[in-house]
Amino acid sequence: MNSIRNASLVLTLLVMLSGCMTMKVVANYDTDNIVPSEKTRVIYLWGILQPNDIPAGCESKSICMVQVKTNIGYIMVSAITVGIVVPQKVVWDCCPSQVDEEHLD
Amino acid sequence: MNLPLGIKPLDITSFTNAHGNFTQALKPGASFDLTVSDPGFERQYPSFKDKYNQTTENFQWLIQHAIDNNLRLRPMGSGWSLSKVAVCPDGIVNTKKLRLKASLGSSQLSEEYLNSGDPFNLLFAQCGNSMISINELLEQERNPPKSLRASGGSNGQTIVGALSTNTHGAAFKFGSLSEFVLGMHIVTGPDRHVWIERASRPVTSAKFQEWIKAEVILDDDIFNSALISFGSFGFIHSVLIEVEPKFLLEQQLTQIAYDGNLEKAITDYDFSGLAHVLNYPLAVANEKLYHFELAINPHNFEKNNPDKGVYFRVMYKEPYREDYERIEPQTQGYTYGDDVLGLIQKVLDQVEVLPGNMLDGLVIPNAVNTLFNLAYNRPEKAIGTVGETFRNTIFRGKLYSGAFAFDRKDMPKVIDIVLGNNRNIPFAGVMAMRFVKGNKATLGFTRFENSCVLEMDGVDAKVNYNFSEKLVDVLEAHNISYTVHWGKNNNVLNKERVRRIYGDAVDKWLGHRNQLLSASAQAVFNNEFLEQCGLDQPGKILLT
Repeated sequence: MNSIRNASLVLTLLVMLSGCMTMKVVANYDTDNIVPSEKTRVIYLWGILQPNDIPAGCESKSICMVQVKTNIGYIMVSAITVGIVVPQKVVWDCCPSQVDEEHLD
Repeated sequence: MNLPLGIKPLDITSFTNAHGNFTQALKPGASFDLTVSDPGFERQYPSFKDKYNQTTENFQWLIQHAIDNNLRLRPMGSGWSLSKVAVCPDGIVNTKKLRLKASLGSSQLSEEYLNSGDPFNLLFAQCGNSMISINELLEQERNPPKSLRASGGSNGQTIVGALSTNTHGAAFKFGSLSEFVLGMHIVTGPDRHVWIERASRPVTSAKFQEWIKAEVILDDDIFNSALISFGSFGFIHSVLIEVEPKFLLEQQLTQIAYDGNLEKAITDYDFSGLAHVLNYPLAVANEKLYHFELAINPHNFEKNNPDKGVYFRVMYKEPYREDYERIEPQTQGYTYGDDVLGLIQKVLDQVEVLPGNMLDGLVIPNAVNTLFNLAYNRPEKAIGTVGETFRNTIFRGKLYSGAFAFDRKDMPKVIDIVLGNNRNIPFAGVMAMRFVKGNKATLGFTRFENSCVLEMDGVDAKVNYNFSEKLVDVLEAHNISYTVHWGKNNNVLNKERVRRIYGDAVDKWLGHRNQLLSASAQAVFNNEFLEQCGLDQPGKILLT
């Protein structure tokens, strides 16, 4: 009983203290949004069933930075279900539209 | 709601700033995006002039909308401010899609400017242009290529967001970003917008002023008040900035002892005692020196000990040439994760509440010593343009960043006070001193003729807020003049302190705000930060 309680305590501490694990792909550190777009989607059955593509919704039709995030909760769900349920979070920043310099005369 | 073309709803109910140290709740439906690049807007307003003038009208529409609906609005750049200077509890307006920019021909410029300046050294830019994009434009697309005359330590801000909070860098002979501004177009109400220049340095011609359709104000005092106004004087639609021919910055980073020789450099810019350290003979170095900064790890510092000294970082200004080794961003290896500072904060805040807490003194120095080298992992020598030198921030995740400015002459005393404070309340972070030429802005943070900015970057933990509060108490007890950065953690600011720091300049600033904005427009741009600082009340109009 004690070992279960200790394990629960360690687990709770881990969840409380751990943050997101992040990997970034950066084309340019610029963006036209002040709040990044983000979606969490679940992949099922080792990828046999995967979410439809997510529309980026960028005015410029281009993305400057993508972050893939996971956390201990997602990892545990993935591990416990042996990959049957794999949540993933993706965050992205839209590039600004290309606006060329003009000359006023 | 039927919105004009170029205004889009921004569907957010909260905003977290870029450094993650606060989240502001917002009213649903009260925030907006402004754009000049939406396809429908571009079809309807194909020319530069059409796009620009319609955007002015869109700003005015937003102010009228806010007045009609009793909303407060704040213009938002990149959201880099760590204080709540740029937010309010109702709505925010994303300006980052406003990226029009233009060079000006001779017909757009005044005789006075043409007699003394170069038209190719001007850039007219809408507020949402980022520092990154301006550097790219000037350095890579302009022909002949140009450089910004000053930059902050990194480049994620928008041009107006950066300059209107007094982003400063360390150009000790030039000054902060605000120094390169020659004109500002500010939308101050639903039926008023103004183009402001200094009377002492008129730049644009009547043709430009007719084009922009704004009321023209040529007045040094009003210009200086509006310059550092952090979104309180209305929407700064655009700025006219002065740039210069492209140049290189040759960096030098070396660890040296904090001793009498360094103190002479700090208090008098007398580098003679450091001649053996400099890359060039003293006379040449004095000519070329552009940037002067010192980094201190307060937990590994001892006077006259080079192993526990400071990181001396200077940059020499060089004419541009092609044959130099470009600075490559680090793509291999590791740095600390985005959440590391947030995790340390959680631990420190837990430790803080323990009775008889003695752990701060153990945990903090060890954590800082470990992270310091990761955060300051910079080459000893590097060379690059302004855009290549000041890139994305080295700090990641949730951050505390506070900054105080002082007269450089006071720095030896200030350093002793800071280190003394650190022995009582260990600062969970590192410190830097950046030397900046002062500005004339009415509420300029770098207002000392030779300002030294003490920056304190670290974990967003309660212990660091305690540190800065105690530090201010001690500074005041020692009667040391200081200012506090508007865009950084500045919980120490209140009405009395702002008045004590800026004196009559507060009345001047309030009076000019009242002169430019009606009472209803002022109410739109008021926020809790202005209330906290006593800057929300209408001032007495000062006739000039």
